[in-house]
Amino acid sequence: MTRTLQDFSFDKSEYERPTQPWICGRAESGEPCRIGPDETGRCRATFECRPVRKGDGWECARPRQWGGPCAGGPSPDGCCARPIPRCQPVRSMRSKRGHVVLWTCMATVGALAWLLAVPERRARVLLPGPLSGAHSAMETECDKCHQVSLGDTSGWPSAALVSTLGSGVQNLQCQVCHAWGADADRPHSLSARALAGMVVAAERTTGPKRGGSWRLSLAAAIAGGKRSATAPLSCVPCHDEHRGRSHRPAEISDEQCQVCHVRQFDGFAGHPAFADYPLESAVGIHFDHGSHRDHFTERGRDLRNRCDDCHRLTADGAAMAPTGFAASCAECHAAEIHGEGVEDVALNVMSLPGLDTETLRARGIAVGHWAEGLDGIITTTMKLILSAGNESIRRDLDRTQKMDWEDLAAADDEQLAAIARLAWAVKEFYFDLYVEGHGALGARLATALGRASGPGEANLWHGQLPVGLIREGIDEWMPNLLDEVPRHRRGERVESRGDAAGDASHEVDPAIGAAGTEGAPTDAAGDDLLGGGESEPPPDDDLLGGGDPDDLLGGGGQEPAPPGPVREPSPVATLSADEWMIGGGWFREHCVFRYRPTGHGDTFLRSWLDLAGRLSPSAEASADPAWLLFDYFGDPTSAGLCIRCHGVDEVPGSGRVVRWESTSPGSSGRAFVRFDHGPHVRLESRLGCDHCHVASADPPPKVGENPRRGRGFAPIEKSKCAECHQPERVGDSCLTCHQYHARPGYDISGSSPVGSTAGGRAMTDVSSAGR
Amino acid sequence: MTGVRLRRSVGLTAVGVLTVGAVALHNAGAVALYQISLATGALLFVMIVTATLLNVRKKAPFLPLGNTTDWLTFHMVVGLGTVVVYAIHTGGRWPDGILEFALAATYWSVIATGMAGWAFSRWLAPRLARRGENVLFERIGRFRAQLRAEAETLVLRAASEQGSTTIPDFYAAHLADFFDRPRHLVSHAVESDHPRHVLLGEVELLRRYLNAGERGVLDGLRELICLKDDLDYQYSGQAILKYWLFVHIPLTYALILLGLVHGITSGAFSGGLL
Repeated sequence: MTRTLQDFSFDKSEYERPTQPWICGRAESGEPCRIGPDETGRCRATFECRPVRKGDGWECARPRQWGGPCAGGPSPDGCCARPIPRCQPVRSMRSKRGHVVLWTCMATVGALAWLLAVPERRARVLLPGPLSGAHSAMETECDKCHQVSLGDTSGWPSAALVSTLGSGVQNLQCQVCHAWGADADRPHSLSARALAGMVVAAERTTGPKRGGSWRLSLAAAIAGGKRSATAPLSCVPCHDEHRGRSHRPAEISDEQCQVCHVRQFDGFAGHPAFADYPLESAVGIHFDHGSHRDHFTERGRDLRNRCDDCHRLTADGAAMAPTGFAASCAECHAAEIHGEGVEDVALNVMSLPGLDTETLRARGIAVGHWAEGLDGIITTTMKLILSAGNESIRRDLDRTQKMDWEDLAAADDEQLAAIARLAWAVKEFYFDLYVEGHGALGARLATALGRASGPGEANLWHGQLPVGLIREGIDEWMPNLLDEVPRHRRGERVESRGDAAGDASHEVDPAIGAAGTEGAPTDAAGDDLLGGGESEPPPDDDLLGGGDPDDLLGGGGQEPAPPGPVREPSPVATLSADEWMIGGGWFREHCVFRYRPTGHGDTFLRSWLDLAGRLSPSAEASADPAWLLFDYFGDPTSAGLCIRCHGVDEVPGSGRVVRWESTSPGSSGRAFVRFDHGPHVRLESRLGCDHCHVASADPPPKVGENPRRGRGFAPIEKSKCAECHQPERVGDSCLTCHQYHARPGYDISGSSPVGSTAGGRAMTDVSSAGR
Repeated sequence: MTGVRLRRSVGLTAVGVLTVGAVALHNAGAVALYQISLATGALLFVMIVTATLLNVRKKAPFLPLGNTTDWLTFHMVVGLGTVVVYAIHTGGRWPDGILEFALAATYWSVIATGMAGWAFSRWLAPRLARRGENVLFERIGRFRAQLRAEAETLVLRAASEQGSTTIPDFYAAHLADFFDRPRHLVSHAVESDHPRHVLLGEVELLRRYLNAGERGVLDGLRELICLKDDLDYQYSGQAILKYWLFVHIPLTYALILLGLVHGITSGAFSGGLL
């Protein structure tokens, strides 16, 4: 039989108390005392028993489990004769474990306190992981993205509980750099109206339909009942960070894309068919591929798959951008811009209008000297310049808009007063221009814009207007200008010298005064600055003739030279001024300062179209000088032919904006679609461009029609993309072709007018279209 | 079905249901554009704190909170569940940040020690029941002293009665240290009887040099050696069963502290939990 060491008999087994914090120091050696230490770890050992009195003596009371009564018994005075040696109590195992726990906790708290004590160290310790490459520069600047301050930890506990995401406060941190417009917080950065419209349209066209994976169904069940389609969203759930340098915060899953959508599907196979893609892409140029293709085909040149003749892959590989006018268009169209085949090759910019001075004199109204016989009108450019920042002049222009300045017999006093004020405004402008030069023009236009002109901007407005041309014209038309305007400004009544002395020396020949009609070309040559054929050189002034005895070259005292042969008129003299100015620039024709475009990209025309467009508030103010000026300069048939090719957008708040660039980089004209030409161009050698871009027989767009439509190609069908975009081939995730955020200002509802014509979709902020 | 099997089945079913539910909700929540990591983090923290309630139960045996075995099963089920929630919370990534690295290392240490404790209890308990006498851990020292005293008494008796120092010399050379303190703990932990066989082999080698009286003493010593070796075996096994908690419990509290800081900072820097 195996011997046992442990006896659990009631009188032989001591009751163990492992939960007590201290145990006897002699327990390990097998001789623990019966009492054991107290709660504080002090030894309580005295004697093995406390003798009990029995009659006159004492008896040992040692328990049986500790050996029973000892042989010697207590001393006569009742004291136990077996004292217990005192020990140094030791902690119980449980107490030791508790101490280890305590020290571990203290070490943890101490380490955390030390690590989080200093903000710089705090940033390193709390950084949950490296930021993505795009944000890596801000890795130690937590405050750039987070609401809570790294320096003040007192607000952390409350910030940990109270959400700032729903209020959009956190989003503001993101929008410091990522400006997605006024509706940045809403789904797709679209307005609530646009989102509501999308939902209604989607439900109307496809019917309420849910599908996709179980995750989508469950997610829709979780989120659907709580989230409105137009309710603001937080940036954070989609754009997680601190996942390492290679992480792309903009990537979200297809299911995340679709959770809000009315119609859900598992892949590109279930994607709705394309509607007119990419015909609505935003392009700036009226260009009909079809007509060009036909034109060159007729001449034996096959343009199929020759896109790279005129298009080049952009540096980022996103687009096949046009190579530009010089490379692609100039060969055939440069001459037209220079005036070939154009009815009027120059624009009337500044004029001296004809005025019924007789009636004014008869009604006692003094406007100083005014050349007689002019029958031109005040140009829209002049109207814009005169009314710049001057409401009084603007009202006078409105008041006299339908009046014939050359026949004021029927005008009432108020109208005549307005005419007089306008006449003086014209004179004052020319006076300022005469005296101050280009600065006078720049100052007035800056006033019209309501801001200082930008660097170099004013230089574009005057188009290098030569001083000699201006002063010569003014000297001829208004010889007393420098005297009259100061007097008028001093409040003096300024009569025409002709009024007092009948001086008609400055009258303009009626035959030459008819040139001032804006937009009407003139071929009158009587006042040709360059020498009309009817003028004969004064014989006595011929420096080379030698007939004059004082002729420097003729030799003094010599006999008059015999008369030479009769000179034929110079071939040059047969050219009109605008014909002579074939290279473009300023010239004066009769009472009008005209400008002939210098070629494609003429900065004068461009700057005035931009200016007039910017000052054109809306079509409702079509009588506004800026609106009229834009119509004149921007007429598709007027000199320069700018608007024959360049599209115009009406942008609320920005007026009419000419799309000078052929395309907006990165812009597809759609809110969410993006297409990267780069990888597709590599397929060209195998498939050819016309695999996707199929020629269309649609009629070309009319001049002035929205250039986004009808570019000579049929819409691209979804099946073309689906040939490769399959899960097992090149992938078919949503983000392959879509971007989540609509470009700022994009109004998907289409209610905003586009350009001046067809109602497509509006890019209401073209300045940021390329973002 | 026995109670153990029933508890095990219920626990594993609970872990399975928790896993499926957490995975489904995490997937759907992420798709629904919720900050699901905050929710899973909060759930993980609550589960860890809940698992520590076993310790509270053990410290308050007087409260009617159910039996400890059920609590232990609950503790293990919740602990196993935290692994699932942790994996969902972190997305299976090993953290890059300093605090998160410490947190992850502590968490996995707690899980590892917990699993080890569970393995020890499953592995050592039947072994301890099979070999030697199941004595209370607190009494092992006393029994060791008792055996040493008995051995020394035998040796002294042999010296006085037989007039030979063979056994005392043998005791001093080979057995004094053996009886003086716990020996061969590592060998016992790995279930090795080699040291015991070596000692008993020495005893048998000595036997041929002893007379009959001394052989009787040697038999007594042999029995004491076996008792002491079994006592050391019990000590080794029970010490393992007790000392693993010296790692598991302190790390659990450190984990709670680190988790609290992580929760506050994550919540504050992620825009708030509620």
